[in-house]
Amino acid sequence: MTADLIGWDDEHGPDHRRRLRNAMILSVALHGSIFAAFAISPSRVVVPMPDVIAVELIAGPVSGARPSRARPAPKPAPPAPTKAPEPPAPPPPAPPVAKAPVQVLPEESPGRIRKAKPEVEAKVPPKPAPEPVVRRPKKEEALSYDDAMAELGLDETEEFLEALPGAREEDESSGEPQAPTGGEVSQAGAAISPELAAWNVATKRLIQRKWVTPPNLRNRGFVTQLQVRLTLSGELLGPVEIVRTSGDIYFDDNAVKAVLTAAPLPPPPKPGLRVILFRSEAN
Amino acid sequence: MHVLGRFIFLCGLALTGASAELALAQSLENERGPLPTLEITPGNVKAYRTAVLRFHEAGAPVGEGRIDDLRKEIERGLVFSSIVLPLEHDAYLGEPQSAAMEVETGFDCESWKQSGADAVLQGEVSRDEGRLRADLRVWDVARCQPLKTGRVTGDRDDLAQLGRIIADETVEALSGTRGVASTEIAFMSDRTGERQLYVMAADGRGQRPATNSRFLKMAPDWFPDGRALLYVGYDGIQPGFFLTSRDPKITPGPILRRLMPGLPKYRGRFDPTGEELAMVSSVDGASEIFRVKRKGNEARRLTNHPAIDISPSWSPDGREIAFVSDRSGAPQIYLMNRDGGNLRRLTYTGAYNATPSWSPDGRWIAYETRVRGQFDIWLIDPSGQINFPIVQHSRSDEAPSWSPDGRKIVFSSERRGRFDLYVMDWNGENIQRLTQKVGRNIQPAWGPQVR
Repeated sequence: MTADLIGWDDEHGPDHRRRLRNAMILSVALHGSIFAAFAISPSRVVVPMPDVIAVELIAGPVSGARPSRARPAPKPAPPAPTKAPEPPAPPPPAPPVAKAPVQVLPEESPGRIRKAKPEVEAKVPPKPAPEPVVRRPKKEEALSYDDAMAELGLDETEEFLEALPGAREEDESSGEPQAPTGGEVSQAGAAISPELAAWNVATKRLIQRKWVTPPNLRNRGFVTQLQVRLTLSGELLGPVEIVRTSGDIYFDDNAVKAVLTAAPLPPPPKPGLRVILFRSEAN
Repeated sequence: MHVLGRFIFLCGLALTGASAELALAQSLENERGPLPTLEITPGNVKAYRTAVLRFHEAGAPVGEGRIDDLRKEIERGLVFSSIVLPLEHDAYLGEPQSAAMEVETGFDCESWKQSGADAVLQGEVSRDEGRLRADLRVWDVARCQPLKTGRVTGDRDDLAQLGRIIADETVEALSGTRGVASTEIAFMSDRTGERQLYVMAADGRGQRPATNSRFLKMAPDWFPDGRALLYVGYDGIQPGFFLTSRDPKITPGPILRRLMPGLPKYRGRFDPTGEELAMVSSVDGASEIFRVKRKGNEARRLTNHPAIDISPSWSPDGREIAFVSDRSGAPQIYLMNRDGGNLRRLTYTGAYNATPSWSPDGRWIAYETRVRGQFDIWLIDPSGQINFPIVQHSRSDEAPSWSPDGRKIVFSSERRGRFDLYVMDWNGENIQRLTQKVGRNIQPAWGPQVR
């Protein structure tokens, strides 16, 4: 009764179940027709687009060990100057040897890209009309949001370190320099010192533990660039400056607060200016 | 010519933004050598860790025990937000008792920093003409300065509600968007044998009926200012609209009786201003979507198709309406402008998509889609480019409704054998059950933020 009056809006009546059953039968028939359509004209099979919207290669001093990732949003300008080659880095505990560049796959977009949608159908008789299945992209398993977001819950530093060939978790107290993750490269692409690499790892981990990134600030294409001046003991000298804003004041502010809270940072190999780049994308 | 030149100049600027930056960096390099850069990506800290101090009592005391109750309510409200979490009391290195609010000095930043707190909530409770009042100060531990100072008053002598409001204020201070612990959710339940409209706090507490008449009811929607609820009732030959409210100035009962007499009205959704209603009626055997002004005048038909068109959901700017139509042969989500123009199909996956709900920030439309005979909840963006599941379960999850801050979704799920309401973060995490009573609990509608 209710369901008759309101179409499928009241979903829970016996009518609904009958509807479900009918629709399931229809669905089976439709899937059959999809297969038929595919079998007859394979050339018309719509190839789903890849899961990636765009790929931007961020190279250079930003992160020696990490190439780029896809970003869904309009691309901000590359944050770093030049396309520096991958940094040769010392695999521990042996003396410095050139490290193979680490390939990191471009991050997948949180969803699936669908082919441009067809025009809205012209008037179609309501019920028996078959779905315009051939024009639709093939139904496929979409990337689960959980899968995409699961990464975010991990301590990606450790994951990343383990993924690095020849790289090992840096024990901050060991003093034995290890291969870098957020390693740096000079403009010319020269290797950084083991001391600097170790400092990078320790500092990155420290700041990461202080940096609050709620779900609504993750995977937004945000990049905030801060500049700090460090003393030899790792104290901040002067204010933390935002040299490039993400456009979101809370993302920017959380980055600043992370550095302020993390301070004093580990004693750097060399005092002076440092650039710290915060990205909303996890690995 | 001049304008064109400037345009080209600007284009050039934009295009060469990267190289400008590069040049800047290189000039820095020339001066100082390479500028060492460290890149940080998000770790696993997803929430602001906040120490909630025991509030100071001023004037007429509310009682020792109640001060601790208030603290529990505040912390509970913070937990509900998912993005501000109370710091474990064991971790406190600073003084857990709040000083009086006039004392601005002596705040021990270093201890709180060592405790791992991002923020500290300090406060003072007092009574104002019998009502509970709280003065608040949220401290930014990193900068060692007050982030926000404010005063909230409970609308009644209700410690739980005051605690939720304080929690919501704290969430706003830290994240920029007010929390929703103090909001309410309306839903339909047949727990007493007949289906009635119910209202509860967003965390599921305080469930109470808002109607008691015998006739069948469905499809609740909040008036945008939160003062009244609209629902559809079958009290006669045709279903029509009814209003209910706890505001004594609003008379509960049927509304829009003279609108389209003789035609059924199935589901009404207020536009963001509350001035107009998108509604479903049936004309010549087909459900169509109409828009009508508050007074019931200027009813305007937006869809015109022999197929079924139902379930309108406004975009947050009120310019567009998402709805469900089976004009392609199966229920799918469509979008149109508020005048019915620019009609376009949004969903192409799934053979049965229904109950669209547009997020408050406009970025997503949540909907239910049938998978193997039951429903999951997916999000799709209004351009249709991104479409993904947020709730997948072998039993039905249905009827999503967004929290006013856009961070949460309430939905109805059959996962425990019968329909109950659950709330989750918009990304599908932190699923919590809200209803535990007997009966089917369905059609949730999350109410607005009311200050």
